[in-house]
Amino acid sequence: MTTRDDQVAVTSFSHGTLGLRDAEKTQRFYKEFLGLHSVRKANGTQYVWLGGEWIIACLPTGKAPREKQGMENRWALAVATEAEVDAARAAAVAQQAEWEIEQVSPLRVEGETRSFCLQDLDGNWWEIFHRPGRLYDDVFAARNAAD
Amino acid sequence: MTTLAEVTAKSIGKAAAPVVKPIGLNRGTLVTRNLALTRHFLEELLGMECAMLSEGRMLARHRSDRGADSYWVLEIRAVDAVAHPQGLLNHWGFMVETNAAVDRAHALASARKDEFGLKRVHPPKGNHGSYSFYFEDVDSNWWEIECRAPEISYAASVAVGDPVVAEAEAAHDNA
Repeated sequence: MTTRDDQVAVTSFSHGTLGLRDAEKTQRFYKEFLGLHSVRKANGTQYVWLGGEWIIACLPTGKAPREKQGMENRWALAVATEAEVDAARAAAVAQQAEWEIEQVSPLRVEGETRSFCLQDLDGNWWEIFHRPGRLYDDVFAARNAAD
Repeated sequence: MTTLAEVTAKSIGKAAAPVVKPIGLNRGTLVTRNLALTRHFLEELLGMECAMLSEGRMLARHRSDRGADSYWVLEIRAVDAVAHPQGLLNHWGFMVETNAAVDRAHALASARKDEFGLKRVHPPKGNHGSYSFYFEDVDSNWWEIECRAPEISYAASVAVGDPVVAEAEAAHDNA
């Protein structure tokens, strides 16, 4: 992989970050509800991942007023079937109080993509979606074929 | 070097029976008021590949992604106004190999700040064994260019599980 002299010599797109208030409580939600891998550090920072070589660094915001995210800034989790999207949404609604889920969006069907979003206890948004095939491969293959 | 795939295969940090059983965390989303400028910045400064998904909706990936089940893409939507400007604690991070590469990246971002519409380019600094700088784009999205020593790579940090990570970083800091 070569980098032009006028570009940053990036070796990987490695991480994104989000804010959280109670690392222990949030970790339980990430692991036991969302099904993510999570490791928590002593200072409250938490690393979350699932597939690939990237990670979300979850940073403690302390007692500062929480800045809720909008749904336009979210993280997306792929599931294997449409039925799993429906089951996940049903579970989010049924267990909303237990997990302190703030909002659960209506189910959305756009083309072959079936999804819904939820806003977690820290005000961060997660999309759970299913789409058959390999959308990303197809999109970039088409782009490269056009070049 | 430890990889996240190796850590994942050992089920480190995973619950036995979660409610949702996702097959991948593979996309993050953000918004821009100027999709063309964002594409220019991502392609020309960071070397990403961008592809239009539909009108006003674009995907971006880094060339290191391998495709198939190993993806981490950004989905960027065009909006008229940014309803929730992001703070530095919500940023997107890119790895480079050396501290010198961080410095060089900082020089590039500073020199081409106006071309890419960057609002702020912070100076590089060390933090818990990593060396990085942050910058803010025209739509208040924040980006980080970072170098981490192999022993405190993200994969190495999570490979040791919950209670030991802080000790490993402290040992590195004290070395």
